[in-house]
Amino acid sequence: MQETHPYSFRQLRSLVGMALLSPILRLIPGSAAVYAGRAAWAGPLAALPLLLVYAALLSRLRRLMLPGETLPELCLRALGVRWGKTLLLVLGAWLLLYGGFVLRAGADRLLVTIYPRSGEGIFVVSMALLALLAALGPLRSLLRVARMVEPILLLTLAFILLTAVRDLDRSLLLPLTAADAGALLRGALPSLDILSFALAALCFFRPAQTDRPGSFRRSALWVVGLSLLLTAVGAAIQGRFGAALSTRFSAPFFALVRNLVFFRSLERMEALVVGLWIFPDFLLTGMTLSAAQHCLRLVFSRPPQPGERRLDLGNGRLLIWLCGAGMAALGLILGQGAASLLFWSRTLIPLLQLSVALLLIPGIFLLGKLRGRL
Amino acid sequence: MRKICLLLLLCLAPMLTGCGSLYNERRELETLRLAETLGLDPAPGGVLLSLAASSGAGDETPCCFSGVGASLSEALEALRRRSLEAELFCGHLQHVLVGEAFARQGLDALLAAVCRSSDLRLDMPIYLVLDAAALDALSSSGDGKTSASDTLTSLGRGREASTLSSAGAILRDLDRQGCALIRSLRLQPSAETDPSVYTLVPEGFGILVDGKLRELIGPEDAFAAELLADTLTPCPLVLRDVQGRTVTVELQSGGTKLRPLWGEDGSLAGLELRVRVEAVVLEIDGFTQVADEGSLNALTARLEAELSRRIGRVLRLSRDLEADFLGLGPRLEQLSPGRCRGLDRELGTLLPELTLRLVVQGELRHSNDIN
Repeated sequence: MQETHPYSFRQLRSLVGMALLSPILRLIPGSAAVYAGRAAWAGPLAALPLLLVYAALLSRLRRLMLPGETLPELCLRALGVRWGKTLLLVLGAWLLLYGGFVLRAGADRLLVTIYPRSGEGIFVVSMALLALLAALGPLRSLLRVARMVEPILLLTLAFILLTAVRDLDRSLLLPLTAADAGALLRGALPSLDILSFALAALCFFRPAQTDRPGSFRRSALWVVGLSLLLTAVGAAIQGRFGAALSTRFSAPFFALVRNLVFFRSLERMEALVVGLWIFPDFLLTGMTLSAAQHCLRLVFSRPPQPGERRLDLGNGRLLIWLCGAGMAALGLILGQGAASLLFWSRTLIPLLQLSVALLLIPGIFLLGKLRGRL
Repeated sequence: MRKICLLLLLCLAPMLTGCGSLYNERRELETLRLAETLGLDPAPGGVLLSLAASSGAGDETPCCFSGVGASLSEALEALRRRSLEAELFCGHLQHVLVGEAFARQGLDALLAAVCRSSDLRLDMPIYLVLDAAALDALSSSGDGKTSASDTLTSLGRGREASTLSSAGAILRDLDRQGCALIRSLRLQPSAETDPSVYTLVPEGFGILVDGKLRELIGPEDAFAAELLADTLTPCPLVLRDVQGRTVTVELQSGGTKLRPLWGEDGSLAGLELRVRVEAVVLEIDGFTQVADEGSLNALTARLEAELSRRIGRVLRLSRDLEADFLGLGPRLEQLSPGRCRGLDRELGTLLPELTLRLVVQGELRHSNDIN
């Protein structure tokens, strides 16, 4: 996506990293603990080798991008107009579906933790409106929000993790033996899902060319850092509750916060922490909506131009509004009922996400290479 | 556009003040009665839920409300309907008391509620009331100014603090071993001279197997269970020395080291438990000195024999119930992870077939002799 003001790779990493806190706290370690039991906390470390290979592939892909190009433009170049647009339609639809699911999951978290007597509609619609507002403007606004909330969120997370470490029960985390290898690999799936999305998301946006956007080293260091963060979150929750108990909470991280006592006097801080986690939801939905409208505008041959005005409806910008409405509608109709939401959260969305990240995007690269267009 | 947005935001600002009827959950702090203790008993076709509330901000005395329902939520709703004047606030519950009859039926409903509820904390201690209903304990203990909640708060600060069985610990142990310990209390007159005022007195432990109360550990063996579970807190123990005099020692610290005994075929043949206790002499009949080596050795031997007897009783209970409520299995797994993974059964069910070797080592660190 072309921007009037270029941004750095670091800013982009902040945006994606902060946005990821939303699925991290939803899926870690609850989902991993279901698959891996006691080995769940080490899942992110087990996923790391594959993630590094994936990071290398995507770095290569980013290096092949021409100035001003992002993954959607590269897709058109690599596959040709017909197949490229078809694939962009699929990518756009997937991003809208994912955004809608994030809206629904965020609303559910607020219902479960703070507002049990409310309905999800108000949260879905208000977050969708905020995401629309962000997507109507340049990506720079989202990047700024991410940079502003990054220290607050990371400090809060660090503070919670440090407080939780005090009551860690080692026997709930260790020992891990060779017999746990299979479980460990199964437990790596949620981390693979989250972090492959992060790496793929970097390709939808274009930092300044001078900022070496294709650097593997920086992507690798970033993904190692995120893996360690996921491991720390998983270990803190699992080391306190155990794998079996972690799976019983609908939001294990917030259950952890609810049961912490800070400085022997301060407790019941979960409302504040859940409140803070609105920012990752906002960043994630804003980011997916931006990427989705970009894909779909390319399908209709109306690529985004630098310096577009927020309320301008020309050049296919009506699609941004339509995408926002579609995302909100998906958020309202997805996962009706607890069992359905669990199925979407633990099975369908991770499966689709892994298919897009590990099959579709590498597929673009391979086909582009085979056809000699990259 | 920017001005219009600012104006809109300003118009929305009054919504943040908390005044008026914008929030249907709004309550004034001074009218709230903080529910501190939750009591649970069985009732025909459901559960009898009781709540003990603190005295609040005004001059009110502590009070107790109860309600019956098919589930905890329905019983709580029934209770709320009865206590509409009191404005009960349940977001700060500190303790749970379960009657013995309720515990024998099973704590699953309570433990599931702890996982789901936003009001119940996992570090909240759960106590078992022996030979009485939780409602009786909540309504009859205290002298009018103090309540059962005050007693339980004191217990939480005192000797029992480190051995309290919190909801989280019970859930964790039930998940891991299928059984858990729950601290038991008994409702007794607070003084022999005044039988009208009742209080809750620490007793020992209840043993939960698959969430249901199966057996009890009495007050005389409670410290043995604590020793085996590595959670001993200082407590007195009365012994008889070789001359038949009463000697009171205080067990100050101690713990248990576990060693698996593997058979030649690689199966688990037994367990060696090395219990180490450090104690001091608190009190002896008369002005006798025990600081000489002979007396100390004799007293230490008596201490070790007494400890062996009581620890043996707890181990036998664990073996008879085929329940590893002392958490020996997870500790064993820390020592020999690979071999323990090869065991086809839980340690609890293996216990009757295992050789249990108990080695007790006592040390009298100080005799407090008069010089």
